[in-house]
Amino acid sequence: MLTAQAVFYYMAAASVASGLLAVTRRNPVQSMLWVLALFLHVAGIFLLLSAEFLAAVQVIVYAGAILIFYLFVVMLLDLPDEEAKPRFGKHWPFAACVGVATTLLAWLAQGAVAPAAGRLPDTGAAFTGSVAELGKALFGPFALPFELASLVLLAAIVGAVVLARKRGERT
Amino acid sequence: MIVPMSTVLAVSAILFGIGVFGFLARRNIILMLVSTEVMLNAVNLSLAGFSQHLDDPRGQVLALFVIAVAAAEAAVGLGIVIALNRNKPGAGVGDLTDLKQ
Amino acid sequence: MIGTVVTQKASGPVLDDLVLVVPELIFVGTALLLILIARRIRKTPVAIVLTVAAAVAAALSAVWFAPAEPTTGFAGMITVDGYATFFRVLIAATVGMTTLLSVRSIVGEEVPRGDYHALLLLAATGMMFSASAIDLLTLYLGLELTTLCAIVLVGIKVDRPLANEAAIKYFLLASFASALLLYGIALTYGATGATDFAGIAAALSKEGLASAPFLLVPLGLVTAGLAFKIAAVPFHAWAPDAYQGASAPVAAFLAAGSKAAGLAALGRVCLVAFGSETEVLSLLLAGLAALSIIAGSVLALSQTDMKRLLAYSSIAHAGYAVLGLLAGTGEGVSAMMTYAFFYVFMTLGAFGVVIALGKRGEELDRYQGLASQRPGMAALMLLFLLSLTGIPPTAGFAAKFVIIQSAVRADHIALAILAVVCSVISAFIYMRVVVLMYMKDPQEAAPSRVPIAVTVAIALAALVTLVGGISPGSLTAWAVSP
Repeated sequence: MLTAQAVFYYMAAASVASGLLAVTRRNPVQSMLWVLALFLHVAGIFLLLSAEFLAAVQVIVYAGAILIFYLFVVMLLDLPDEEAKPRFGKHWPFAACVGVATTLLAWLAQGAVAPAAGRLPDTGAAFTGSVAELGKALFGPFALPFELASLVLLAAIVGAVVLARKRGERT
Repeated sequence: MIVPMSTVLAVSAILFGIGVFGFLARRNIILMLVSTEVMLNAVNLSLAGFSQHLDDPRGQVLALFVIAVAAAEAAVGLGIVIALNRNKPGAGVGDLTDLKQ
Repeated sequence: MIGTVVTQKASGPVLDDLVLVVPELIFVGTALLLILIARRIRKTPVAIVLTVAAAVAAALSAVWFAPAEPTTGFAGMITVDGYATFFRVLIAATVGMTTLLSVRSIVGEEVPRGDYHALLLLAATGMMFSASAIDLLTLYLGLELTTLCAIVLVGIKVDRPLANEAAIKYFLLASFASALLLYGIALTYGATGATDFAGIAAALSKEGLASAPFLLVPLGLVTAGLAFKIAAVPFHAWAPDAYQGASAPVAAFLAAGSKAAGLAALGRVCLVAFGSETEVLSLLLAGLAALSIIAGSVLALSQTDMKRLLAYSSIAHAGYAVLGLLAGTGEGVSAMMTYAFFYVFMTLGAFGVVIALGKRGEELDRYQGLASQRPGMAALMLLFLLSLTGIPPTAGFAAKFVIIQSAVRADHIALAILAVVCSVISAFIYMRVVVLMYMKDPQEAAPSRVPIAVTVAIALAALVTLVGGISPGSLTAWAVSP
């Protein structure tokens, strides 16, 4: 129990630290690596929250696919003078204030909404987070959103092909 | 419950704030996109937290859809970045000032 | 969807549910077909014909298959009621007219025709789903589908730096806004334990803002995310750039379709899900409406690019439409629906004239002397501009009348006066175009012939604008709130 809690606090602290580093590094590639660390630590928290499938998807899709895609583009574009440019816009103190304010608001709101569990109607079957239950939910009550998500991905595929085509190149 | 709920929610709130800060402060387009990914991770964290707290699969399902849409967004966003870079190599948001009068 | 779908609530066979989404299925099917045959139809108008046919079929089937009673399907993800049917028909009409308007801008190799139309249809599918969604998840996915397709359409002319810039600005702001919306959805879920509108409403009526003031945060975040979709101030920054950088037909599609879908979503969320919090919500919405009306009207004054001018005008119109939601009553929502209906046609008409004039139509100064060169086109532009201002006997007047009436009924007298004053300000903007057209001598040769498809679309928009002005009830009697 104590070990698990210690692991959780490590994951939490590491997530915050790598998130902060990710958005403040000058070199985009370094940023990407810190985001990778963030994704993996968040996946760890998912595991502790008994969301195993979510953790797997986080590692495979987020850390595996999306991040590699970002890295590809960063490498492809080869931004040589990035190091010379200012890291932030001139208004970064304002941005920092907004960020802190957002955090505070979100934290207060989360604190206020958290005790909702007691008030909820008991649905009977407890949810354990197993893959089977999640699958039944996805293809049962969530069948329509599932299909909609496939349309979103289809649109993204068509869009990416259309947008990345070269001058005069036919799709 | 191994994990203290309030801490999960606090981490989510802090990450969201970091994402907002990064989005508003950075001038590099790709790093702005990365900041929105940080925000989406914060959302997923609180969804998973709520899901366990409420004993309800809905939160996790929502988080899965968020990841799917994030993948789609990344594909479109990076496609535009590539197209932009072809016409204006090395452009940051600060250089995008043609659409004004 | 087909096959071994196990619905938890016994909602009947899956086929019953599929009947509810026939218009969407038509759009998706046509889009898939277009993607498959994209290479073969590169130099033919097949894509245009198919898309227009799909739009007509979707509009007809939306009415034909509309159930007599509001019917919920797919385990409470969508409902098909009068509200959904109304917006489905409106969205189908928008797609059809946009397709007709875009015949000229997709000539040549610059735009892949099949993909262009497939994206239009997919965007419209997302719009229809967000109009019939009764669950935050479906709503989010529908809006996201619309936005992603719209972004690609804005940037589809990849060789043009302006299009790249517009697309990247739109994309960055849209992904930021959708992250805000998602955080709002997550918090709403945490607070109420539900994502379906009925469940949220039930939980909020038990314990609302009065006892938990921080519920304002999720409420505000969801409203902000939706306000972005209709480009209401202060979430409007993307609209002028996106409209200016996009080709004119895509800008028309954004101004008409995206706005209608966003309003549909906002209307249902405000009335059904957050219905018990009308007091606080109407304060938020009143702020959005007032800022949008003022900023849209005032900032439009200094524009010289027609698409940018119409973008600011669309921002102001979003503000007017939101006035209908202030009361939180079904009557107010019907006023919003009427406004959205007439706004879609008059804005499509105005963009249609811009498109008909080609490059010349996109710059304000080049409207000089149009009336003596193309009297018909100038008269149509005059009609649409009068309607956008809200002068009788056009549909714009009828729309403004019902919307301001509903604001007065909701005891927002100050806002109603503001709306009238800003209508007068906006008259200056639109009359500037009229003065150039009618009172100046032409500086350049008459514009070339207009394609027949564009003429048809403009004529249709003009017909609705006129009939709507003379007897508004005949067109919007079926504007029933959810």
